[in-house]
Amino acid sequence: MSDKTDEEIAAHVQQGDGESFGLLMERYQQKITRYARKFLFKNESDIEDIVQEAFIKAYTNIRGFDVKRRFSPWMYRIAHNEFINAAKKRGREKIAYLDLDTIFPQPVSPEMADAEVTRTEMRELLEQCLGQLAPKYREPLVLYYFEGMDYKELSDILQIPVSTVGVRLTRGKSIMKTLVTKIQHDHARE
Amino acid sequence: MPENNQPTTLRSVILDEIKKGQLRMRPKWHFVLRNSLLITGGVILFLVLLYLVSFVAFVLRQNGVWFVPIFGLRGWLAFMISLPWLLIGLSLVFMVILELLVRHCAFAYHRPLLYSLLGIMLVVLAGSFLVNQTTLHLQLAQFSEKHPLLLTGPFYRGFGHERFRDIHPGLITGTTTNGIVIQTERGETLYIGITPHTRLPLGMDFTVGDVIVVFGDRDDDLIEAYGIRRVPIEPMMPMMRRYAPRY
Repeated sequence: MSDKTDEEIAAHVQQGDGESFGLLMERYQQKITRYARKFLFKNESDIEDIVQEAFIKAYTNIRGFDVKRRFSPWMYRIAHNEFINAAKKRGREKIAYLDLDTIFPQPVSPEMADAEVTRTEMRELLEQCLGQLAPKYREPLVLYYFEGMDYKELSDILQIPVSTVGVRLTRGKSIMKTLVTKIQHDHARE
Repeated sequence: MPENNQPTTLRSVILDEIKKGQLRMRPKWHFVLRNSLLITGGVILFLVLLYLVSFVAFVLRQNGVWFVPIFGLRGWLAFMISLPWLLIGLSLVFMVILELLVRHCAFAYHRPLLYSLLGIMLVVLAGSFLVNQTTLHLQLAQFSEKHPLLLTGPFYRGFGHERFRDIHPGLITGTTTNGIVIQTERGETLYIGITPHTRLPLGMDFTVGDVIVVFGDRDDDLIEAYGIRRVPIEPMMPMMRRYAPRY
């Protein structure tokens, strides 16, 4: 079973093989937990609760998953919804329902295939200032740099236009660089 | 939820719940039903929108408002004031609801919201244009007159028979030394004065039996026309049938 694709395993689960869901959890538990940690900044116990809720939702709704499509964006979408609900409950950060950059067309910047070195550098920089970024920039940056998603997958998970994904990544990187420079400047002064 | 230091993992907790039957998958029919309801809701909303928008166009043609922008700025002003804003507002609300339904589909959320909203507007306008090529609203209007208690009755009588102070559609029944005589849908006879200032954007070769829209302030049964234009017979069909037997 372990050589099967996520979609094939999901099809087994749909037919009533609940045990196979364990395999999907094995493949996604670490990823979803990392996504939750980087996006939500909650304590470990809260993160576990939220991730557990995401997997419970995934299992409950798995018969609504179309096995002809990819499982990964579907699973991340469920996790995204859970995380947004958790963030709203906490109420410390403002989560916008509608954003101008999802309404109006944006200049489309072609998807850049970052070299692994660049990605590693970006991940290191992001670690320093993720908590200071607004959720709308933090989430795509986490999914792109830590979870290795492409623009289309990000668009499916966040249900926003592909061009908006590009805009948020570009703006997020720019804000992040400013924040990192400030942090480094503050450190130098100390 | 287990404590962090307990050996149980998230995976085993969930699998345990599945084995005990505490965690169950929703049946397939739940999703089929939900999707069917969403699609049905979307289709019904779209049909209601088609009906509303085509009805607005039909009403505007029937009460002559559709034809007045040709008389320039004053015509446009009268047009804007006379629009059925309640119906237009209702149509916009339905469009937004339809957009919210469509937004869950990949083809919609992959693109900016403005595109899908404009797409919906375009499809609804094109569909309404096609509906207005049929006699649907005419037949419903006539049906409503015969059966006033039905749901469509108040709708067609309320909006369809609405008349405005300076827009007067009517059938030419005669001529006078300085103008023409028209009969309105309500059976009133109006005397139209034509002056050198009267705007005649489509010419002046009117004959008895033509349907026209007169734009100008009414003083009792006299109107000094600011503008006159001939209009197609179709939107005025009920009136024509009533007053001009040859139609």
